[in-house]
Formats: sequence, structure tokens, C-alpha cells
Amino acid sequence: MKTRIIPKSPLRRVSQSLPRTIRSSYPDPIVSARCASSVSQRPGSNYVSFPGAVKSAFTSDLKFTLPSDHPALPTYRVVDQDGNIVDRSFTQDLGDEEVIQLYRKMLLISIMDVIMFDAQRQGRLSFYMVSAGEEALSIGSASVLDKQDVIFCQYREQGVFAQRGFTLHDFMNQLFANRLDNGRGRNMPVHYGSKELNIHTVSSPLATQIPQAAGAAYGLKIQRIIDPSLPPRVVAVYFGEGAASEGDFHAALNIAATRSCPVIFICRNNGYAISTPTLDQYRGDGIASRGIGYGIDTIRVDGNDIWAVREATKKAREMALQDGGKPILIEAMSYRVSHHSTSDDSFAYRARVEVEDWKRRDNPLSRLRKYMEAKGFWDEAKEKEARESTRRDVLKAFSQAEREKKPPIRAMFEDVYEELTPELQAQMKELRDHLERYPDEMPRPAVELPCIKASWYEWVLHPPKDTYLQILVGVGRDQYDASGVAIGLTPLDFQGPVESKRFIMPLEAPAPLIPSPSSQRRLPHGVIHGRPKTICCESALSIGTRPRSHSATASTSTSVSIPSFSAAAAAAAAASSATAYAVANK
Amino acid sequence: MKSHLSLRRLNRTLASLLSQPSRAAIVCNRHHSTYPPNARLNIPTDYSTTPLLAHSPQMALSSSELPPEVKNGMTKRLNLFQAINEALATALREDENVLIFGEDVAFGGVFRCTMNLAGDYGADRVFNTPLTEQGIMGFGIGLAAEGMRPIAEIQFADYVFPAFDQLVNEAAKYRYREGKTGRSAGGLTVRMPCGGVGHGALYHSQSPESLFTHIPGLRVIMPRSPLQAKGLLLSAIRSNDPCIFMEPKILYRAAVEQVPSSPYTLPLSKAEVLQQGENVTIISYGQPLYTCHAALKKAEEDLGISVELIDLRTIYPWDRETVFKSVRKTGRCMVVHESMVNAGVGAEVSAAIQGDAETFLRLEAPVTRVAGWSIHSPLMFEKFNIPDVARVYDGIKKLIEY
Repeated sequence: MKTRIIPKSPLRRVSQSLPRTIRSSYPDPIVSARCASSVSQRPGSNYVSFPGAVKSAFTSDLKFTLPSDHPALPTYRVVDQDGNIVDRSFTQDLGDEEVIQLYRKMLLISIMDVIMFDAQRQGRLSFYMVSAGEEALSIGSASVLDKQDVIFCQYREQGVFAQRGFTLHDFMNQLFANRLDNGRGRNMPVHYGSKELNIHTVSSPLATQIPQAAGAAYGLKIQRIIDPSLPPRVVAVYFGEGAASEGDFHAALNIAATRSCPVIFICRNNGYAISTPTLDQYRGDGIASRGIGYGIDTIRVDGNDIWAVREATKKAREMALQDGGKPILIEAMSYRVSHHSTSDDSFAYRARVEVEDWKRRDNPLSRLRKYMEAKGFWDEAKEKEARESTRRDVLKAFSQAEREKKPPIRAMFEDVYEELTPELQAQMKELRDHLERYPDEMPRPAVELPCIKASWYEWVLHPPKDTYLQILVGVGRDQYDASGVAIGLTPLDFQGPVESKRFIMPLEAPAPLIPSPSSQRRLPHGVIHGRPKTICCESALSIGTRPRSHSATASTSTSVSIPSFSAAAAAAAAASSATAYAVANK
Repeated sequence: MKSHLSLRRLNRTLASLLSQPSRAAIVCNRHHSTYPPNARLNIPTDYSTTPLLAHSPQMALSSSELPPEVKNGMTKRLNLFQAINEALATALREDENVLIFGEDVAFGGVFRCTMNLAGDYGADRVFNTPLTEQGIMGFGIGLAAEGMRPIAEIQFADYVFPAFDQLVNEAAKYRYREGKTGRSAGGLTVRMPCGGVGHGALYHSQSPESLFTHIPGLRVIMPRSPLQAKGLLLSAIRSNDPCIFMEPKILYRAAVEQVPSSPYTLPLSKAEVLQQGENVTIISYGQPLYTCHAALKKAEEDLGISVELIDLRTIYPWDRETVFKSVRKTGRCMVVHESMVNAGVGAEVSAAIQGDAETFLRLEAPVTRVAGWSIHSPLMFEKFNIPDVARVYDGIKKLIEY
């Protein structure tokens, strides 16, 4: 335990004896509205006035407060399980078409769940997490937040991403960790993130996002103090009831309360943390009761009722922005219909019948569907059409993302620091050298022609100035030989020097290998068409800088990469049934 | 469990200890923490004369790393906590996005580093947090990720461990995880006092830098003096990588020197050669540099050698070039640090030295490490644990005699 005795007066004495650097007077007592020195116990008072509890009445009853004396906090709902409106004050604040859009988003993530779960089972995806049973919760809450609001997710909030505009392609690119993935191929599937949508990237450790959300909210608050013309914004953070057992949760609520941060804590209480039921997770009245303990305005809602979630979140956002900002806690009750993840078989710890029962009796989709059908703007035919077209869209995006190229190996060293450190540069070179010396020991994505897909090599499309390519060519995978003779090429074709097993292909290499500027064109996704059928192009690492001797005659073309790669394509075209290794090197 | 070491005592003892003439402690030798009367080597550091501190404005302004406008300016005599306070005030003044928070920072901090800042820059920008290190760190990361420039204080480095998850899994990985979105926790600077003060025992003495130097994404910095602290802290605050700034707390009041008055930065990940030499290279950082300097002076006198002394300053990512260059010249090398020798910074530095082909060929002796033993920091035995002048001196001797 720490030493926390703060001897103010001696310290002050010491400090006053020291040279002053900024100003000579000790600052006024700061910040805290509940300052220890402002409280004193009045004689004959009925109330406690200790600094830690200022309005506690004295009692002569020796009585402990029992949790069981208090009824469980109520759960707010608008629509019951049959789709009937039970909150008489409720009026639908959306047009019918907008309601349909919400429903279609719910449908989208639930259909994506099924397809991606199966894809993982087929081995086409390493991992997946479904969110079945929580669609109303994520989509409902996200639908009433402002686009400018900042969101931190746990990992089961596909609905939040979908609702804010994350497209199917965005989802699939991340899931397949291809070159279009925002995470640049570094994260496990479902670790989505987006700058435009103001959603921070998902992180696996549980609950770490909760104090971050409090900090981010404080940042928004300060930014608005600095510049009052900014729109008022809140932060919303999602987490499960299991994560709420982590210290980070408690730290976050406490710090958000003491700093009056405009943050909405949204707990998805779905009954299970992997296999652990809530009975083994906590003994209090859910998560909501904890908010009250931290002095935070709290509500519990029916998470299967999208209208209840919307109403509660809308009100929470309004409250969070009052009085200069304050935190709000929403506990949304749901049932995790799905397994925890693709690595989990939940029937090992819960009865199949229980799950089936929940699915049948109450789930967020069926509840909204019943509501829409009762209102008369949805029917079986529309349902069928929506499901079919959604499924088609998902599969289309799926196969497109699956075929997309992977990010460059270089990406593994980048973004550790703002700039590549000398150590990382050296390590990158070490790996590149290793891959060149053991070209067959590492699976390297090979792209079959008839077209060489330059897009795999991000660096080829966007190389730094003065980049050049080295090309290893040869017959078959094992016999690359830069002499070029075996495959009918000579170094002269490249108009450049030959260095060990590599051709160095200067950018200014003349026609016919490099098309004239007028014939250059950037093809979609960097695909460069070539004639041969069996040539493939592989890559090790990555970018090199043109030796100084070449730079005097460097190409003036603004699109330096394309001629390089066109040349590679041309070389490859000439080298029928050969393998071309494109390696940029120093 | 209650520690019987109160901050009152810590500060009072520190202040009185440091105000005594340098050899006064010899009078009382009943405790292991005092010096034996006949010591020739283990004489307490005299911070008022050590050439590692700038005792004159000329010395302070002579550094080639200072920009011309600073070199032409004024200096003032500051101790370490005052220099840090200046850097913090500068940061608050020059950038509205800078916020300072932690336990007890509003009244000035238990080590006085945040004195007057809340009064001068407002309670919205300099404030107390509840007692939760993981909360402080998470809060700071969230602020940084939304474009602010938070400076979080952990009251003692010994208490950073609840925040370890946030630092390792979140701050360090934020940019890497975010990828193309471009977000990072780079605006975050974490300050923490570290190291022994003579009576800090298990939980007020630790120097856990090597736990952070293992983590890519973090910059770990430890200044040796007020002048260094001001420049390095400003660099850390302005850096777009999350920085861990570790302050040797024994120097807060002990190290006093002339510090340029104008704001300035000193380069991160750049070591400094404090003294040129031909026969041995000593690499260290933070407080042990004073021990090393005392030892090498004696060794130079006794052995007729010259020793090169290097301050790493940024412990990770560290300046390999400067170190390799020096070792290639001297062929003999020692790494000195206060924290445990096992898997410490010395292990990394010496492995890198022998792993560099060119430097390896120039080695005349095995790379030596003089560091804390692989134990916890014991109250009554601190003097036997933290490298002293005699151990460093002996290390030099062994290197020469190898």
C-alpha cells in the first residue's frame, strides 16, 4: 500500500524556502467543490459532516444496509415482446422508411454473422465474433448519436459500425486483413476501426477502452472550452458485463464522475462472459447499481427493444452534455444467442434448449419486425427480399475482399513509432536479406498472370521519389537467374547494370520496355495486363532509393512507379513460363 | 499494510541529508546507509562541484545542442524539480492541448514538480485524479487519441504497475493497431520519479525502465540533470510517440545547476558523450552517471588511463551509433545502472555491442555490467545494492587488466 500521507504544511514551508520560478504566492485552493477544509461538524447537527460523506444523517439504529432490501432497478422498455407499444408517451421519431433502414442494418449484421461464422468453419477466415441477440442494442444506440460523437467499442459492436456507415467492403477488408484493411493486416478479425466514422479501433484487452473513453470525453470538453464554436460532442463506450469486473471499469466511472466527462457508458449485459454466467461474475444488482455508487446517473433498458435503447441513449446524450458535461451509465439487458466466438462452443456450458428458447421467445429482430408488421409497413415478401439481397451483398463483398491482395511486408515495421527508427530500418533490411537468400522458405503471395497485379505491392504504386526496381527473373520457381539468357532477356533490355542475381531497372529505361508517357495509364487497382499465362510475380521487401549516380537522369514522369512496373510486366511478358521476382532494393 | 515511511519523513530527510556538507555523514557510521570513515572511493557525490552539472551560465550555454537564441539568453539556478516545473509551465503556455494530471498534482505534487501550475493555468488543465494508476493512464491515452497532449504523473515509478496494461497493450500499440486511421497515443507523456534515495526500500526505490524498454512503441527517457530534464521533457511532450519520462528522485533537490531560461528542446534517442576517453567506455543514464564520473576520475588518476563517459539519455530506442563508435575506439566497455542486472538495460546494450560485427572485432575485454543485484530493493542494504564508486572503479580496473 502506498504512502499517502500528504504533510501539506511542512512541504509548503520547504517549498517557500526555495527559489520561486513562476510566481511568489502559493496558489489558491483548487478545483474540488468538496474541499476537506470547508467541512466542519456543527454542534448538535443531525448530519455527518465528514469530508467523505457530507449529508449522512446520524442514526441510533444499528442496521446494516442489505442489498436485498432494495428492489432490483427497473428495466425500461417501449415495445413488448409482441411488438406492442407499452410506453404510452412514446411516439415514433422516425419515418417508416428510416425504421426499415434500421431493421435492414440489423438484418445485415445478423446475416453477416451466419456467413462469416461458416466461413471461419471452412477455414477461409481465422476468427470471427458474432453479435446475434445484440443487434438492437448496438444499432439502436448508434442511431441516436451524432456522427461527430466519438465511439470506443469492445468487439461485439458490428451494429455500431454498420449504423455509422462502415460498408460491407470495410468489414470484409478488415476480416481478410487485405491491403485495404485500415489495420494494415495487423489485427485479428473483427478489430474494426474508422477515422471518418469516429470509432476507435477495437482492442482485444477487455475494459481498457473504458478509461480511455473518459479521457477522450474530457478532451472533447476541453476542446470546446478552447473553441466554443465547436459542436457539443459526447463519447460513447461499449463493454460487456464481464469487462465491468475489470479494474479499468471502476477507474473509468470514478474518474469520469470526478472530472465531469461527457461520456455514455453502455454496458451490454448479455448474460455470459465466454462461459461465465453473471452469477459467477457479480452478486450485486447488475452493472447499473454500480453507476449509482459512483454518483453517475444510470438507467437499465431492455436491450432487445430498439426503441427503448434509442429513447434511453437519446436522453443520455442530452444529459451528458448538461452542466458542462457528466457521465451516464446505460445497462442494456440482452441474451447472447451466439457462441462467444468461433473458438467457443457454448453448448458445453449452457443448454441448447435455453438458447433456442431465447431465440424463439424474444430477439431484437423479431421484435422490431413485429412492430413494423403491426404498423403495416413490413411484410413477409419484403422480409424475404431484404434477406436475399443482403445475403447477396455480403457474399459479393466477401469474395471481393478474399481475393484482394495482402498488405506489403513493410507494414509490419511501420507505425510502431511515428518514424522508422534506425533499429527497425536495420531489422527490415535483415529480414529482406533473409527472404532473398531463402526465397522458398517463406510463403509469399504469388499472383498468377495473365495479369501482374501491381496492387499487391503498395510501394510500387506509391513509391518514394527515385525508387527503382530490381527484378529477378528465371525459369520456374527454383531457377531464377538474372543472367536473363535462359529466358531470352539480356541485361541490355533493361538498360541498367546487373548486380548479382538482380537486374536493376532504371526508371529512364527507354522503350520498348517502358511505354512512352502518353501510353502510360494507371489501371484500376494497379492491375497491369500482360500476355503470358504462367508468370507470377512475387515480392520480398520493399523500397529502395536510387543510387546517386542514376538520379541525375531521373525520370521526370510524375508517375514514376508505373513505368517501372510496366517494364516489369513487359519483361515478364517477354519471359514466358518464367518466374519474375520483383524486388526493390537499395 | 502501512508503510512506515511517510512522505513528510522522506522529504525532510532528503532535504536535510542533502543540505549537509558532503562528508558530514561519515560522523555517524552505525547504519549501513552511511559511509565508512576511511573510504577513498565511496565518498558521497558533491553535487556542488561535479562537472556533470553546469555551475556557471557559460557552462550551461556552451552546449552545441542549444539553439542560438537560447545560447544568447539568460540562465537561472534551478534544481531538478524546478527545471521540470519550468518545462511543464512552458508546455502549458505554448500549447492549449497540454493537460497535467495525476495523484496530488493540483497542490504541487509530492515532489513539488507541479507547483503553481494549477493556479497559473487553471483547474481544468492541471488537476487531481482519483487514486487509480490504470485510470490515469487510460484517461491519458484517451485524451491523446483525441488529439490532446496529456502529461500524466505517476506518483512513484513503483506504482506504475496497475497502469502497465494500459501502457503496454494500449499506449504502445495504439498507432500500430489503428494503422490507416492515423490515430495514436503519441501525445502522451508519462512522468514518474524513480530510483533510490537511501531509505525508500521495496516500494519507493524501484527503477523499472527495462520493463518499458522491452516495449516497442514507447520512448523511455531519463535525464541526469536539471538542464537536461528541461530540454528532454519538452522534447518528450512535443514528441508524437508516447514517452515515459523517468525522473531520478534523489536529484530533485540535490542536482542544482544553471539552466537556460528560454524554452529549448534536446534530441530524443540521442546519447551524449560527457567526457572523451581512449581506454574504456562507460555507458549509463540518470543518477549513476555521478557515481561513474567519480569512479573514472579515480581510475584515471590511479591507472593512467582515460575513460569515455556516455549518457544514453533516451534508454529506448537508444543511440547505437554513438555507443558503437565509442566502443570501437576504446575496445573496453561497461554499462552501469541502478536497477537489477538481470534482463536490464545493460543486457540489451552489451548484447548489441557484441552483436555488431565491426564493434565486436574491436573488443579487448568482455562487456561488463555494473548494476543492482537481482534482488528487490532492501531498506538497510541499499548502499550494497546500488552501484557505488568502488564497484564502478573496480569494474574499470578489471577491464583494463583483462
